[in-house]
Amino acid sequence: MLRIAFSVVTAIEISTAFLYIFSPLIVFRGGVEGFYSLYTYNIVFLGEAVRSDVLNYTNSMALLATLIYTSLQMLAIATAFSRRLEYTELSFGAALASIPCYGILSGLTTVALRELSRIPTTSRVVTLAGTIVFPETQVFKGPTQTLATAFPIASAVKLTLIATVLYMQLKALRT
Amino acid sequence: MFASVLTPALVPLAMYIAVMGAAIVLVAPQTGFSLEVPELYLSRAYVEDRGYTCIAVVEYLARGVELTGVTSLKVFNRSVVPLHVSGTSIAFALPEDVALLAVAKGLKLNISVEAMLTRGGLLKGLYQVVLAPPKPVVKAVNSSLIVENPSCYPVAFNVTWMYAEAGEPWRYVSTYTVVKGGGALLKPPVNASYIYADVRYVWMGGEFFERLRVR
Repeated sequence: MLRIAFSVVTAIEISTAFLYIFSPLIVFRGGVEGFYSLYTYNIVFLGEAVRSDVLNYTNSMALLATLIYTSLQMLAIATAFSRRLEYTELSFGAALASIPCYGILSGLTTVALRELSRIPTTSRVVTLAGTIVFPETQVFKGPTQTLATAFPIASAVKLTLIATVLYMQLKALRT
Repeated sequence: MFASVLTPALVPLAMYIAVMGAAIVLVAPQTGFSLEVPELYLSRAYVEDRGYTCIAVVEYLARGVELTGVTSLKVFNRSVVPLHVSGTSIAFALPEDVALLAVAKGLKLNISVEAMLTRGGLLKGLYQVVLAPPKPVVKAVNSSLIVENPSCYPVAFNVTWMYAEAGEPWRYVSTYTVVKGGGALLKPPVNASYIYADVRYVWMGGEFFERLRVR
């Protein structure tokens, strides 16, 4: 029962991780149009498409981190049903990968937000030519912030379940 | 026992951290983007003397943006139609009465511009242009009056002709003429033995008077 619960929570956690990277972190409207997610981005600054090495980097690293993490979670689910202690230990280890994965995604989010904060949102420029007014930019936060909270909760539940399975196996071995 | 449990558990974790750590460090870019807000600076505003027409020109120094059209163009709060709008300049013909007034009073041209820019921008600018027209020259040659004003700025001349025959009282006739883009030959309106011309004109805020013996 615990193993099934572990598999279900792991599946939920994987979905959350993918939702985390696919959903928009920030949405721009006005002078700056577009969105950024950890998977991809499309930002147009006053009619000019924005290309950034840093944002490309955060996208590729987030995808890589999530794909490797997903493979390890599949391994965790596959080995969790084994009665052998070594496999349960392996499953526990694979499940632990959620912690650095979350850390990496959080770090990449910080890097991306720092880069995105460099997009000028000034709508009024005063020079010797007079006052130049560009469309104002509105910045909205996407659902990623909420998913960023759901992901560690799912990880914590999952780790508790697999740790309980491991503890019970060890207890059974002692007796 | 605890250590033996952790050893196989740490393998996938260590692998994950090693792979991701290497990828993050090796692929890390050195620089981010540098976006700048487009800017437009006033390069110069001047009046081009084309002899008979004064063309006011406003030139800009553009960075990342260009003019696409003019929505409002005024000189001394009077709307004028642009002759030419390029990405970085606006030109228009200065109305004659405006030029006449500006030169007579020695005023700076007040030009206000509202223009559309590329990238969704709007420009509102107010510029002043200092006028420096050459001073007109008035002279009497061969029983006529020659008024020279080679610039495109019109100047209004009030001429009072004083004429008389020998032993008769002086009589007066006044004429008014506007001269620009060259010179004008003013013949006396009457034929008499003695003719003088009192020429009055206002130029750059000052009133000038010259009395010339025409005949």
